[in-house]
Amino acid sequence: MNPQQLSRLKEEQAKALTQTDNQISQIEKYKNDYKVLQDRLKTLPDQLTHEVMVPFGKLAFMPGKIVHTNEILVLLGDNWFAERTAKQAHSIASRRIDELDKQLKDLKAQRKLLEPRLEFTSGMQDQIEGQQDVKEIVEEYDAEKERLWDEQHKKNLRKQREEARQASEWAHKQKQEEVRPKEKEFSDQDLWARLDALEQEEADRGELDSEEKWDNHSERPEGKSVSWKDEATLLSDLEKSVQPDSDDNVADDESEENEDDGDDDDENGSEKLNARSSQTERPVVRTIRFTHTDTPSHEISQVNSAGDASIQSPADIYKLYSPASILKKPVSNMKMAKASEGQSAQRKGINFPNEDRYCETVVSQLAGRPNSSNSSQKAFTGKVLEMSHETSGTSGHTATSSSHNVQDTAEKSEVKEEQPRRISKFKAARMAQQGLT
Amino acid sequence: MAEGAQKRLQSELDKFQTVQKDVAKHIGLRQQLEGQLSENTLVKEELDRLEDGAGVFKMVGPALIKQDLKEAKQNVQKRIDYINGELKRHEKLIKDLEKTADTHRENLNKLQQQFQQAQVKAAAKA
Repeated sequence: MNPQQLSRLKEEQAKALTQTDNQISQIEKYKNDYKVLQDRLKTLPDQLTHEVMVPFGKLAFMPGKIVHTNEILVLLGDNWFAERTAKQAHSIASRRIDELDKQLKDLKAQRKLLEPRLEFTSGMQDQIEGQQDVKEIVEEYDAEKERLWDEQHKKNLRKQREEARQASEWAHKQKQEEVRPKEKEFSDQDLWARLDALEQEEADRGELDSEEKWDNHSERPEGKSVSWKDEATLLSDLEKSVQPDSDDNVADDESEENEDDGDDDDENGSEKLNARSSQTERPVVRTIRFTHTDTPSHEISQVNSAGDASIQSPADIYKLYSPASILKKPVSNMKMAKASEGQSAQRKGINFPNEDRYCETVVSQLAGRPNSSNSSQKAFTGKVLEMSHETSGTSGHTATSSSHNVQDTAEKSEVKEEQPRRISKFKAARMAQQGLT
Repeated sequence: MAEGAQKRLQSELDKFQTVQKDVAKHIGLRQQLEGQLSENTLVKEELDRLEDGAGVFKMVGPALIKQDLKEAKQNVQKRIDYINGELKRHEKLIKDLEKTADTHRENLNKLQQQFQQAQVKAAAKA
C-alpha cells in the first residue's frame, strides 16, 4: 500500500476527529452557559429590581435597573418568542440542557468510532514505514532461480539415494561376509556341540519359559502340547517335533540371525534337531516313499511329508509370510530350487557328491537370506516337489524332469551349482549331520 | 488520438467535478434543513408546553409581533412539514446526483485507461 495514500487517509481521519472534538467542546460551552443562565434565573426573581450595568452598543455600558424580574421573554428558536416567568424559563433551560446532553452523547460515540480508525491507520503507516519492529514478509520469486534450485535439488536427491543404496549394499555385503566366515568356522562338531548346549539350556529353562510365545513348541516333547492338539492327533510325536521346527526355521531366517540371537528359537531348533537325530530320522529319510493324493488340504499332506523327512514344509512358511510379488520370482525360484535341493540332499545324502559344498552354501544362505517370498513356495508345496526329486534323486538332479514343472526343475538345476543358496540354519545343521554320516 | 482522448477525458472530468459540487451543495443544504427541523421541533415542544393565553411573539425584521398561541403552533407545524418535505426532496436529489457521479467516475476511469494506453503506445512508437 502506498504510504502517501495512508497518510492522506490519516489526515482525513484526524480532521474528522478534531471536528468532533470541536463540536463536543462547543456543546459543553453551551451547556455551561445554560447552567449559568439557570442560576441567574433562580436568583433573578428574588428581588423586585436589580441594579445592573446595561450594555449599550459594543463599547459602552450604562447603569440601569432590571425591573419586572419575573417576566422573561424566551427565544424558542426560529424567531419565535414566548413570555415566560423566571421559573418557566428555568425549566426551559434545563430542557435545553437535556437536549445538549443527548447531542453530547452522540458526539462522544462518534469520537469512539473515529479514534480506533485513526489508530489503526497510523499503526499501519508505522508498519509500512518500518518504524516498529514489525515487518512485511516479502518473498521474491525468480523463475530462473527457482528452476535452478529445483534441478539442484533433484540432483542432490538422486545423489543421496545413490549413496544410501550403495551404503545399504555395502552393509549387506559386509554382513554376508561377516556372517559367512563365522558360520564356516563352525565345524559340524562345533555346531552339534552348540546345539546340545542349547538343548541343555532349554531343558533347564523349559518350565520357566512356559508362558512364552514358543512354549507350546518347547513343551511338545513332554507331551503337553495343547495348541497344536488338532494336528497332533494326526501326527506322530516325531512329526510334531518336526513341525514346529520348520516354523522355527522360518522365524530364524526372518530375523537374520546368528545362532545366539534368539534363545527361544535356538532352543526349539536344537531340541527338534536333537529329537530328530536321536530318533528315526536318518533311516527314515532314505527309506520313506510317499505318494500324494490331490487332497485339498495341502498342509496336512505336507506335514506328513515333512514329518518323515524334510523340515521345509513350505506351507508353514507360506502361513507365516504373505505371498511375494511377481517381481521376486527369480529369487524365489532359486530358493525353491535350493529348498528342494536341500530336501533331496537330505534324503539322498549319499547321492550327492558335493555335500560339503551344500553345507557351506546352506550356511551362507542362512546368513544372507532375506524374507522369503513364498508364492512359488506355495506352488512348490502344492506340487509336491519332493516326489519328483525323490524319483530323480537316484539318477542325479540334472536329470530331474518329472511329472510337474519342467521349467522349474531346469532352473533349479542350473542355479544349483552356481549360486550360494539360502537355507535355514537348521536345515544346514541337518545337512551337516548327514554329511557326518 | 491521444489528444482526442485527452479532450474527452477533460470534459468528462469537468462533468464529474460539477456533479460532485452539486452533491456537496445539496448535502450542505440538507444539513441546514436538518438543523432547522430540530430547531422547529424544539419550538413546537416548547409551544406545546405553554399554557393557554401565554404571550407568544414572532420577530419579523426588527419588530416583535404578538401572535395567538394556537396560530403560532399551526405555523410552526406547517413549517416543520415543509422542512420535512424539503428534506425528502433533497435526499432524493442527492441520491440521483451520486448515481450520476458514479457513472461519471466509471467513464472517467475508462477514459483514463484508454488515455494511458494511448500514451504507452505513443511511447513505444517513439
